[in-house]
Amino acid sequence: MRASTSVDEEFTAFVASASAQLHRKAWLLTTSSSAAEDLLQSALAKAYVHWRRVSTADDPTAYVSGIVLKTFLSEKRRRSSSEVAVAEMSDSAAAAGDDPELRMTLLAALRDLAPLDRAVVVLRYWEDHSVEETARALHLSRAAVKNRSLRALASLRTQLADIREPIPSQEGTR
Amino acid sequence: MSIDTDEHYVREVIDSAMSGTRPPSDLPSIALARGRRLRTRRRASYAAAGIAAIALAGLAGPWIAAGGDRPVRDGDLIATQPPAPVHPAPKGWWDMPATDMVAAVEAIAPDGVTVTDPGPLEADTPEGGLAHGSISPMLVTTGGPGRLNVILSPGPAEDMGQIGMDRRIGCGGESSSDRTRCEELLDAAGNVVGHRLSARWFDGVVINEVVLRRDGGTVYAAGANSLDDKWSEDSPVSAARPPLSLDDLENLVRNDVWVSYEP
Repeated sequence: MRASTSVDEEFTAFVASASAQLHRKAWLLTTSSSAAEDLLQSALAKAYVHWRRVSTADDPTAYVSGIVLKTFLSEKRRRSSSEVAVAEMSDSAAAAGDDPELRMTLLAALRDLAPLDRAVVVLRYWEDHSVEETARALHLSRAAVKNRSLRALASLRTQLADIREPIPSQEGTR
Repeated sequence: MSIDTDEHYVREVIDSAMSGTRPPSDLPSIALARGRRLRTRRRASYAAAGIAAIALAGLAGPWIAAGGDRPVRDGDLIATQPPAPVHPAPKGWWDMPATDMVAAVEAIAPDGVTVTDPGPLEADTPEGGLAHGSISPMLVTTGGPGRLNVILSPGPAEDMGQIGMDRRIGCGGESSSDRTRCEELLDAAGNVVGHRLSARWFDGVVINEVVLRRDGGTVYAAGANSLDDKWSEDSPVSAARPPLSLDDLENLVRNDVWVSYEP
């Protein structure tokens, strides 16, 4: 009983400290606040069941972040038969955000990407993973990650064009 | 516009858009409750599976040596909870009640495969009642237990404003598994009408899946060597192999029992 209580306390403290980061990732992946909550709850439930393994990992947050990603990919694969495409009309779950309008635009743009492309965007441009790390996390080749990145960037460029402010060209800087 | 500029801009937009978001304040308590439920359910299902496997082993006798020589271990793969199917009008054979579907699986399943738990039979809707068009029974073979999903879906789904199985009738999509084999099923005219897919994630869970377009809808059947509701990287492996082979699944989806149902 004492061990169980200790696990519960550790787990609750972990969720409290890591949930903001994990929730953002889930939201970017699912593009829906309600789906993000469900995804995050599913991932955290799995983390609880395997808490000993999670808590002894080098980086528990990264470990659970990986569970979020894999749960998202597996549910996408399994649930595509019954999913209903719905526009996210409200942003109530995060109304305290700095720029809800920008968020809605971004999420709408991400929604147009294939789930795996979206995952590439999240890993590469939000979590700043390298091509190699992204390829490893998604079990893709490096070339596939690069191709998906290019395709996603092209789509986002179009989708975000309306809100984009001119940025001085940095062509050839890298 | 250069790629670097695009990358830089996307990073900025994501940072700005998401910086003010916060998770629900009750997330820790909800996650804890959900974790406890999952742990309890997992323990219960393993206890049930163990009893069923022992009972089947007693009946199976000489066949018990077949399979099951691989150590059971935690896998990294993907499982399943039958998605609550969306069934917009018109009604059709895809509205078969879950109880009838379980009976059909029991009748079609090859010798040595037993349905030990029909899975949830109630609709995952506010109205409740009997589920239609989707089941996730637990099956037990001499090699151990596993889970099956059968989903009947109307189609073409695009016409009904939903993302449907027609999007992945063939083998075009990429899997997140590390080893996937997919073979498209063709009709007499050479059109792609389905696929047979086998996927293995990391070092454990294996999913066999057969999808076939039939009579204005789609029959989907998938089995895995895990009892998890949702196959994931942490899903424990329950057997060396899924309960049904690809041939078994194809035989199942091609059976006319599905399309003969009249609502």
